[in-house]
Parts: sequence; structure tokens; C-alpha cells
Amino acid sequence: MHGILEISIRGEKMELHPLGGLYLKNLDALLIADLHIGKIEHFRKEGLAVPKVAQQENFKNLNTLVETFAPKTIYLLGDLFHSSKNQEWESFSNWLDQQSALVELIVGNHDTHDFKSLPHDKIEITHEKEIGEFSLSHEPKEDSKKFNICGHVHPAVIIRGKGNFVAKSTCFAQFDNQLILPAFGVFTGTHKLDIRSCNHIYLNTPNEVIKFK
Amino acid sequence: MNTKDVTNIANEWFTKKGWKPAPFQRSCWKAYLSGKHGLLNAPTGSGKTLALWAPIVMQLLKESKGKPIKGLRAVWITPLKSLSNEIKIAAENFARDLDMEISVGIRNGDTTTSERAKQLRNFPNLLITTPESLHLLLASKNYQKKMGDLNAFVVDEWHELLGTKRGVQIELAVSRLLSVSEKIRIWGISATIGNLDQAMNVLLGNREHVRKKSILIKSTKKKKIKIQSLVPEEVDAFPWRGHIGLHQIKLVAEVIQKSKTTLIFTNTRGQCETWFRSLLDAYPELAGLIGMHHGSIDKGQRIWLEEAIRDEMLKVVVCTSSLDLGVDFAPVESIVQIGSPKGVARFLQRAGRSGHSPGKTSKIYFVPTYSLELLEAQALRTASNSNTVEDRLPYTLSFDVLAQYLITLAVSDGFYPDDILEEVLQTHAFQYMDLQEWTWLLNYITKGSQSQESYDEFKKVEVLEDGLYKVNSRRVAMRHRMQIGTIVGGGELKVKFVSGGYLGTVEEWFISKMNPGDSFIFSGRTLELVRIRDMVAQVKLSKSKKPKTVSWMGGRMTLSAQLGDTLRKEMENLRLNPDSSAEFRALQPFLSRQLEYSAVPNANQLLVEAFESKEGFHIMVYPFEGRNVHEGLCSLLAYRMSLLQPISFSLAFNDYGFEILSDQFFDPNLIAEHSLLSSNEIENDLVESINAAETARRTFRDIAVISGLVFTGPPDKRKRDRHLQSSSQLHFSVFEDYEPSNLLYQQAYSEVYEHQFEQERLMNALNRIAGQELIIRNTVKPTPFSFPIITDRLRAKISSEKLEDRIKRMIKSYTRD
Repeated sequence: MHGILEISIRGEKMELHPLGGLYLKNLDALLIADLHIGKIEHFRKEGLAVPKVAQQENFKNLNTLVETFAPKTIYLLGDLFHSSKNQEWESFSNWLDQQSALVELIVGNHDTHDFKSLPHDKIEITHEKEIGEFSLSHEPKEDSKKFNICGHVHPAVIIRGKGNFVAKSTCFAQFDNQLILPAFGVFTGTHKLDIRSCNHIYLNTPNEVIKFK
Repeated sequence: MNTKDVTNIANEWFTKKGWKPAPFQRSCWKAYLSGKHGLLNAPTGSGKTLALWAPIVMQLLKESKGKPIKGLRAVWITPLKSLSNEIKIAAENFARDLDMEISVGIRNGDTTTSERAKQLRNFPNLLITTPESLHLLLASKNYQKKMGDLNAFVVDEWHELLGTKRGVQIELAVSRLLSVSEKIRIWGISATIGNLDQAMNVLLGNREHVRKKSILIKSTKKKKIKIQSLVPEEVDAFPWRGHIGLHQIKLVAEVIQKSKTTLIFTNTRGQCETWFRSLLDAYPELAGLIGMHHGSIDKGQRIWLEEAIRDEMLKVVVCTSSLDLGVDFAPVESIVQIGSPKGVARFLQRAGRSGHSPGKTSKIYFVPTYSLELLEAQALRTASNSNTVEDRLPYTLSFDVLAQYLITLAVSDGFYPDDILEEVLQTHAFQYMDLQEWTWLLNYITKGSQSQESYDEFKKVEVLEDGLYKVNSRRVAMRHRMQIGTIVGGGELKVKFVSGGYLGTVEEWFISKMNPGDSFIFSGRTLELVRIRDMVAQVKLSKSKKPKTVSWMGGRMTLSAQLGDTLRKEMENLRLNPDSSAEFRALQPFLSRQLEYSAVPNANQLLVEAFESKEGFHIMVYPFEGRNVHEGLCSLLAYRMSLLQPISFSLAFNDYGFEILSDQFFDPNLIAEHSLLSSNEIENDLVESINAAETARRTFRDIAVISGLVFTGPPDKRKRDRHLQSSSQLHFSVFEDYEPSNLLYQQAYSEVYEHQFEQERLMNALNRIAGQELIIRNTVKPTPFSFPIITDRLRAKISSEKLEDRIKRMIKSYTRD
């Protein structure tokens, strides 16, 4: 499909989607990090007017990924919810109901909430997970034996070119033993990475994933 | 007592002091006592406070019939907190001499909580306050009752507020107070600006009965001003660029030597720090006799310094616009201006800080920091001789300020929309607001959106059963009070010694570039950064030989239209009479080099230069219109160029011209062939180009804070609040993608158009350019004209390429940071 970039780590083929998702081919698994569902509603509840339409965008993007890859399993790498229970949780439950794939949540630092209200049979909740050659976590794991795939950082890089040009883009950032996914949620900020510290950088621009380094 | 009796008492007071009331003072008394509103045009140090404070007291004397005065009777607004004390003392002295018991209080950001609470229980008769604190009062319960007896509402230094959103705050407050108090008189005091009549109308609003009873009073005093440029004998050594001007330090030292006290005005705080340090290094004997004053320095130190000037304890003070306003410094004999003051009014104001006694000549020394500024010295002289002064352009339709005001009213007593709408429509700022926009705002503060959502948790202003708009949530109210105001500070860090002791503030972006152990000059000291903790940069003294100088982002001023106009005339004058002034003679080497490399345009020509460097392809244009207009012009030109071929540019501009830089070649002849500088389709093209240039995104930051879209409470507050912090950038992107009709989002664009690019000036410039001959020069290297522009690192970008394509191309030529 246009825009997707295929790479290979530890002999495993994977596809990077411009929206920020990662698909592991052999394991038939889709990985998504940092959705921050509920953030918009949380702001609105306190009187800060973020447009409500942006909430729908999260689910629209999720569906695009599910339709593209039709995975057997979907792993959410933490920071699924931004705040304690609010109306957006319900939308998420509804979304879960429509999934035929198995959905697993690897709990993150924002997820200090009560997940009981989510349908148990639809979502599994763990702190860490190993699949194939990989260990999945929310925060980067430094002592992992297997190759670590994680979120949490919201990576972005600033690139400079001739003509005094500067552009900022979110990215997938690869290190010796680690791949950090970009934040998937619509209303989320970014954290600037030092380009030199990364082994590889894949920019997820609006329509295309581009290998930068 | 009648008017005549009280006037006699005031006259007696003047006689006793050995003074005589000036004609403008008498006019003010008469107008005020007959119930008029108005605007007084008088400079600092002319007795303007007594012109209005005296009749306020006289009126109270007239009404009181010997009984004590109760409650809040007069509000005096001052834009600078530091002026409050001076006014308080003057007001108290006059009232005491007349045996009147009138209490005077100050209420602003520095007033303690207990003092505020005391004031709310028992208001002083005269309250000296700022626009922000006034709005905080409007956010307090029962404000209508407390302010119902107001006799007078005086806005001091109105010219300073007029061209800002604080001015809109004042307009809204006036619209409310005119309804709350029946007998209130509205007065403004303004220094000379080009649009005094408009200044009065903006302050008073459009109510027929107010307009009819209003008067503009001018003091006729005119000060003599002598301008002298400090030009070194070796003019060839004069730099092409630079904004520090340190090569003139010897000449400045001579001025200091022969004057009692000298004020040195610099344009930026960074420049101020550098000059202070350099003077002290070069002339150690100044230690203890030299001071520094700018907006980021600890307040206590600033107040101490102001007193020291008055007490003749200092020989020289290096300062920024922080000393433009306010209190009189009698001992000041000489003024030095480093670099261009950018405007005639500001220059005259600064010149006026010396020679305060009536009849004395003000003397100001101008230190050009690079060659072209020599021309400005001559232009300033011409402009001040012909009395050319700038207008202040008032803000209109600032929906962010209106949104904040509506929430303010909802926080205190609540409001009924119909009543407030009627008042708001009488202000200058919102006279052309339509009903749709009003409804949008009401929806914004009550529902947080415009669509009818069946279920939504948005909570801010609630509509009660009887139609009253009210904030019930205590948290919402508290957060709102913390954020009242229209001055949005950048992320600022306090600078403190590790051992304690507060030095001032620096911008976050400056400190973020530094590592612990790095040293920098701040507040006149060389400091080493130890660590950053909780928004405090902890420092210790350093002996480093290579400290950085703190720089601040803000404060880049643009050349005013009037000065630009005069400048172009002087340019022509320079061609025709190159020997007519010292400045012109000093410019000759610079000009002949420019002529050798390129050309010097006459009044009917527009010069365009093109050359290639290792940075890429440069196109330079020199309209001499000031940096704001150049920003608009170069966005426009770059946008139109980008329509001809997919290309990306970075833009730079100063007061004399602008640069368009690209990594791809662009033929400068296409500018003429495709009329890329015509005023056709200008509105559309400009909006499109701003869109790409991201200027609106920057403007949106303030709008988001003022309108309450983002919360910027203190970072050390409870965790709950920390979760609510978001960047205005994030909001801007979300609006751009999902709600482009958002009024606040659109306001960012109209503000850029009107205030940033100065729409009207831009149109005039384009019309002028249309009648000019375009001369295009391909040069081999940067010319003297271009040099200061191409070395400017603050740049805007414009592009017609897709981000993907641009990045791909950038990767090819990628150079590591």
C-alpha cells in the first residue's frame, strides 16, 4: 500500500504506517502507542474548549489501521487513557465491541485508572508482554533481553537543510535494542529527540513514512 | 460651596506654593467641574496629575458639605505599576493641604493579599490601579455596588495602552462603569500621538450623551530638542551591520564625563547588559556610579535605582524602554540613544527625559550602530523639526479579550447577555461586531463549541433559569482570576542564587540551550548555571572569561511609517547634497562601496539584488518601509514566487529591506515579468501566504491564553492542574484540521493582517512600488545593503512543496546539526 514503509528487525518483517502504527507480519499483530483517549473530554470538563470533533479522529484513524492490516491481535502500548473515566471511555468500549481481533493493553504511566468498566472479554490487560523476538512495554526498557518495542516518549525530530530550512516531524526511532513508536492520539504533544542518538529514524509524515536515517 | 469657591481654593494652593496654574490645567478644572469627559494631551513633567486630580478633589469638596468622604470615588489607571507611588504621594499631598480627608490606595500585582482583602471591605476613596487589577475587581462579588458611587475614572498614559489589548480591556471597563455609576466622568491623559482625536473617541466609546459632553485639551508647551550623532573620526571603520554599537564607547564615555547624570537608552535587554558590562570594564572608575534598568531585573533593584537617580547618586544608567515612561528625573542632563529608536514619538519621549525644567533644551546623543543608521539620525532630526509623530492603531474585534471579559462578569455577579451586548456595541473595539459573532462567543463560554451536542461534559459558564450567565464552579473561577490580563509572558524562569537571593527572570528558551556549568551575563553579573529546578534557574557567581549574553525574543521594534517616509526622503537628499551634514559625510565610504557592488536607488527606483552563496540563492529587495511591512511584503512575494514553481524559501527582513533565500534557483526577472509585487488579489494572496508562513500560529499563542483556551497556571500547583496544561500550538493544529471556522482561530489571521503586517501601510507601499522602476542587479557577493539582513538568524518560512517532498530533498543535502 502506498505510504507504508517495510523494514526488518531481527529478521522479522514489519510495516510502518504513516498514522503511527506498526504491523508485525509473521505475528499478524498491530502495535499502537499513546492514544490518550479522554484527554479532550478531560479538558472540556474543566472548561477548556478543545473541539469535540477531534475525538472522532482517533477512532477513524484506528479503524483505518485495522482495515489496512486486519490483524489477529492489536497491542496498545500504554497511555490508552489520559484521565479518569469520562465519556470518551464509552466510545472506546463501543469501538472494542466492533473488533474481531484480540485487543491487549500494556499498561502505561497514565493508566492508573480503574479498567473494570471495560468489557473483560474484549480486552486483556498486562504490564509487559513478550511476543516472538520482541518484548513490548509502555516505557522504554533498558535491560530487555529481547528487542524492545515501546511508546511513552512521543518522539519527534527537527531536521535542517540548505536554505536555512527547518521542519519538524513525528517519527519511529530505532536504537540498538529498541524501537519507539510515535504517539497515535490526535491531541498529544511531542518530545524532541537528538538525531545523533538514534540508529535509525523513520518519519511518519501525513501521507508517507520516510526513512530519514 | 460652589464651583467658584473651590476654584479659588485650588488657586490659593498654587499661589502658596509659588506656582501658577497652567492654562491647560485651568481648562481641565473647568471642564471636569462642569461634568465633562475628555482627553488631556500633556507631556510628562508638565503637571498633568494635578490637572485632573485637583478638580476631582474640588468636586468632592463641593459635594461633601463638610461630611467625610465615603467609599470608592475615583479610579486612576496607570499602565506601569512603578508609577503608582508617585501619583499616590502627589494626590495625598494636595488633599492634605486642602484639609480634605481622602484615602488613597494602590492595588496591583504587587499588593498583598491581606491588603486586597482590606480594600474590598473598605475601599479607599482613590484607587490607583492597572487595567488587569481593574478587571480583577470586576471579577469580585458586588462590584456594581462598590463602584456605584464613582465620580471619576482617569486613564494615565493612555497612548501607551491605546495600541494594545490592554486598551480594549479599558474600553470594556468604561462601557460597564458608565452603566454602573451615573455621575462618572471618564478622562484620559496622553502624550502627543498622531491620532489624538481618535484616542479620545476610543476611550469614551460611542454613547451619544458621553460624546456630546466631551473635550480634548492640549497643553501648548513645546520642548526644544537638540540631536547630535556620535560619529567617529575614522568613518571607514564604521561597521556594515551590528546592533551593539560598542565601537563608539569612547565617545559615549566623553558624554558621561561632562554631564551630571546620563541615561543611555538601548533597544533590547541583551544590548543593555552588554553596554553596562563594557562600560564598567573599560572605565572601572564608574563602579558604584553606574546602574542598569530593564524589565527583567528584580523590581526592588529597579525601584532602588530610580530613587538613586533622583538623589543624584548615579552618574550613568543604562536602560531600555523600561525608563521611557513615568517619573521625572530632574538631575538627568544628557540622553544617549544607542541604535535606531524606530519611531519619532519614542525618540522625542526619550529626549524629553532630560532638561526637565521648563524652557530648558533637551539634548540627545544618537549612537548609530551601523552605517545605514546614520541616515536615520538625519531623518529623526527632520521629523522632530516638522512635528511628525506616529499614530497608535487601536485593536478592534479582539474576541479573546471579550471572551475573557464575559467570563470575568460571570465569575462575579453574573450577567444578562442583552444588557452587556448593548454596552459592548457602544465600544470602539466592538462597534462592528455582528450578532452571529456574539452568539458564537456565548456558545464558546457556555458550551465550548457551536454544535448542539446531546451529551457533553464541558463546564465553564452556566446559564441559570432566569437567563443569568454565571460561573458556579469554584475551580473555574479561581483559574480564571489567575489568568485575567492580556500580557502573555513567554515561558520565563526566575534566576536565583543557590544561596537564595532573587535576580530577575530570563526566557525559558535561552536557558534551555545552556548546560550546568555554562556561564552568562545577567543583571550585570557573570553567573554560572548550577541547575534548573521548578522553573528556577539556580546560579552562582562565575569568573568565566567567555560568558554568553542573555537574549530575549521579544522587543523587536519596527520602523514607523513616518520615520520610514522621512528616511526615503533623506536617502534622496543624500544623493543630491552628500555634503550637507556630518552624518551624510560619514556615510560616503559605505555608499561608494554599495555603488561599486550594486546600485543606490533613487526615489523612483526599487532595488533588487540577486546572488548565490553556499547557503543557497538569495534575492534581496529594499523598500525602506520598516520590518513589519517587509515581513508582509516578503511573505507575499515568496508566496507568489512559489505559485510559479514548487519551491521553499526562508525569509529575513529588517527595517530597510528583506531577503528571500532558497536552495533552488529563482530568476529575479520573473518579479517584473509576472508583476509579483502588484496589489491585485492582495487580500487573498496575503491570507494564503500568512497561512504558509505560520505567523498566525505565533499570534495565536496570546489569543489562546487570553481567551482561556489554555491554562497557564503556576507550574507548582496541584497535579490536577498540571494535567490541564497544553500548548497553544496543539490547539492551533486541532482548529486548523477540525474547526477552521473558530472565531479565535480566525482572529489570529486578522491580527496578523492588521497589526503584524500593517495592512494599510502595506497597501500604500505596494502602490508606491507600482510607480517605481525595478532595477535588478546580479552581484557576486553580499552588498553593504544586504549584509545586515542576511546575517539575521530569525527567519520565517514559506513553501509550496509537500512536506514529504521537501523532507526528501532535504535529506539529500542534509547537513548535521
